[in-house]
Amino acid sequence: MQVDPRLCTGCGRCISVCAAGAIRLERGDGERRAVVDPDLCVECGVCLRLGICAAKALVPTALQWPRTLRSIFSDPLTEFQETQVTGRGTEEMKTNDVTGRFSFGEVGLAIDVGRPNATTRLADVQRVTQALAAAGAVFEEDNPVTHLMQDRSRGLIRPDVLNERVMSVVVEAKIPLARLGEALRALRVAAEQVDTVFCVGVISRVAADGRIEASSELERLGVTPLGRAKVNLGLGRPQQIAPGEGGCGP
Amino acid sequence: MTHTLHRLGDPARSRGDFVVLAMAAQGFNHVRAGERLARILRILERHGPVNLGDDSRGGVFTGFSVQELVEGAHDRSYMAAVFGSRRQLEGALKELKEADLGISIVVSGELSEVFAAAEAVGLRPHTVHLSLGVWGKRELLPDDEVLEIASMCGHGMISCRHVEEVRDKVRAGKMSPEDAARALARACTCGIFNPERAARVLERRRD
Repeated sequence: MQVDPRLCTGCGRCISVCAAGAIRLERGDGERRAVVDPDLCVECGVCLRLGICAAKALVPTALQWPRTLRSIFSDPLTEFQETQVTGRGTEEMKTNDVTGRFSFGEVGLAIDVGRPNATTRLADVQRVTQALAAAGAVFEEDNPVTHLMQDRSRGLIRPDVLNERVMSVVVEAKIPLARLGEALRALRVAAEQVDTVFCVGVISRVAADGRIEASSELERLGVTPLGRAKVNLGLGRPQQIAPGEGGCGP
Repeated sequence: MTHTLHRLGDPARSRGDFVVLAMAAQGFNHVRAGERLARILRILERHGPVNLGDDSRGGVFTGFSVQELVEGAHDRSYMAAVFGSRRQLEGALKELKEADLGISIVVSGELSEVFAAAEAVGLRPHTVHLSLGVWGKRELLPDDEVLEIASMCGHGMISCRHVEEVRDKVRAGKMSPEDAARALARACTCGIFNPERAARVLERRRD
């Protein structure tokens, strides 16, 4: 995002709505003008969508690689072309009743780096992916971060993108339930190294008796989940798709 | 897409805050899913949500009418509705179960409340996503009130400074909590922000 200095009236209304703290007022030629710091801007587009600028001085930037990543990981309306899914991750457990992505005996890990409201550089995301890789986690194939890795076995992200700043990134991986403790210990070390925050999510199947499979392991590890959770209610089912049959499209 | 999981803040307010999500599994049941997702949105609407949206397009607070969301539903739509009570949630789930559309339904809320609602309508949870909280440099985070409001848009579209700004206006009597909450809701593109919960947080500031 940029500010057109010819149109900006210097009212400053755009400053508070910027979730990345990238807009400030500068004085030049005796006039105050808003400026967007391109290093801090995560290209989320929220300032533009809100229509906060009466002078229409906010102007979207034509994004080039690797800056396009900022939009992918910051603007919820930007689709990740490889998976055709908007948002920063995959369907993960939300369609697990159909896809069977997560089975008994394993857990999913969804680590939201930069969330809540802190933003992150991809270099800090790499600290998390390296930790998970060292603990033996297997990264989700369709996740945008996985696509950026040059060495999945070590969780290494391609170096030319590491300085990109984004709103948040969801790292998705799976690990056998018995190795959950290793992964959480590795994440505790990563938590000491990052210059941001991350939210930790654990995905588990529910047994027929209503028992959450990972609960006893988490209890053994001395880890107590927060009260809120996401629950897939099992109403989805696969359908037979004839060859060549397409959808109705966006 | 874990944007509804890590809502932080007061557990009592959290107990009356449920997000229902509906999406097709791409490659498994997405063909003509748009029609079924539109029906789901209509079902959700009937039970009095405080917010409603399609993650791929926008929500009722970002300028879409429910009719527009229904007409624009497509196979990759990702419908969301926010309910303020378990009674409403159970009503919606009961109707979704009866409609039997084959689309995955996920509820984000206090685990015990969601399990109880599922049991009440005869649904058996399949998979859960638990939150182990926020790790790392927590000193970067704003105060608890701001965080409770801002974290209701898991995509981070609601600026903490914007929350502080409207909180100051509410405190000064220049804005009602409800108007402040609606102003914040406009930034959340997918319709998962709970403006009633936000207004309750801000209401305390008016006293």
